[in-house]
Amino acid sequence: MKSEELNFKQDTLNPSFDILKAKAIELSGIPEDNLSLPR
Amino acid sequence: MSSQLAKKIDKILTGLPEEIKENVGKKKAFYEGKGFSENEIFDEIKNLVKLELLAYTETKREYIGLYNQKFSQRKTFWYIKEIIARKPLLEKDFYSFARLDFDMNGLKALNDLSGDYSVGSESLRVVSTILEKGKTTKWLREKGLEVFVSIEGGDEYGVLIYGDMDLRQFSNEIINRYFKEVKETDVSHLLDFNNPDVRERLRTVGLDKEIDKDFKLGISISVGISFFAEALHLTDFDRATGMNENIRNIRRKLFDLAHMRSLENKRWYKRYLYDNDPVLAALYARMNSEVVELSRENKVLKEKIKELESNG
Repeated sequence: MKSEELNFKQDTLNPSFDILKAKAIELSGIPEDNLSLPR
Repeated sequence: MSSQLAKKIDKILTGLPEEIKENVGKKKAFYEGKGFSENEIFDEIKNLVKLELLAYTETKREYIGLYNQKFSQRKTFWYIKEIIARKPLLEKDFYSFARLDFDMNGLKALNDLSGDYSVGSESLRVVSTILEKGKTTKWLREKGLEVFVSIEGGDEYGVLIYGDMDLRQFSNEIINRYFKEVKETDVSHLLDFNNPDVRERLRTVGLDKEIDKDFKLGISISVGISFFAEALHLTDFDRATGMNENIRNIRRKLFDLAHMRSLENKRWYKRYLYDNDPVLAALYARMNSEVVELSRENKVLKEKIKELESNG
């Protein structure tokens, strides 16, 4: 079997830019919690 | 301190845990107070960061130099923070960070056939080297992208790709390049199918007649990819828990999605092998020769059906 025969295709979700932007703004507006260090 | 030195230090500190940054800050102030030159300070800082990073790197021989999952999680956290702070926030930004999930295929077969776990370890070392320094990673880094490779389990790896471009355009190319690079690497030295012990083991799983003495066993990986945009889209926020906890939830989705796709890829590849290379499929699955024979018959029947259909 030759690997050239294989060609994977993975479908990804493509949410609209408006939705993504709104979510990013929403996330930025949430106050940081007390445990500010990343875990 | 010149702004150039500050920039250089900032760059190596990006995404590192806060405790490392704090230690570096203290040391920097100390060196400056002692009249060290900028180059000396930078060298000292680099060494310090290297030492600090030992907590986040694997030291087992087969994974040497790779980061661990803890580091990959922290890096992801900071990448997400960086992206949402970008101004203006463009569509490409949401796709400028991707996570890859890799799982090695056939490690069990290698260990069981060789009867020697060091053979499996050697194959892990090969995969680690390809992911960290191989052609695909080099190709990505040449595009100005940051690529971090981590080991996250016995035969599971993660890769983070981060930059300033929409990575969707390379999505399938990335996974296919990594897959092919591993698949095409010659590892025939790992297992000698002429070795009497290997023949005996093949006999016990009923594969000795199927596999020639000059058979060359390759290695392969399953791969899955996910984007920050997808994880963001799939995460429901909880204001009560604070921003950082929500970022950790996004991170979880990002990792889970890539892992799920990697498992899908593994299933797909198994089916592919079953149809196209039943001996290798059997080796991977350690099935018996009866199954190999059935698989072959299945293929012949499929071809017959195709032939009959094309003859009307």
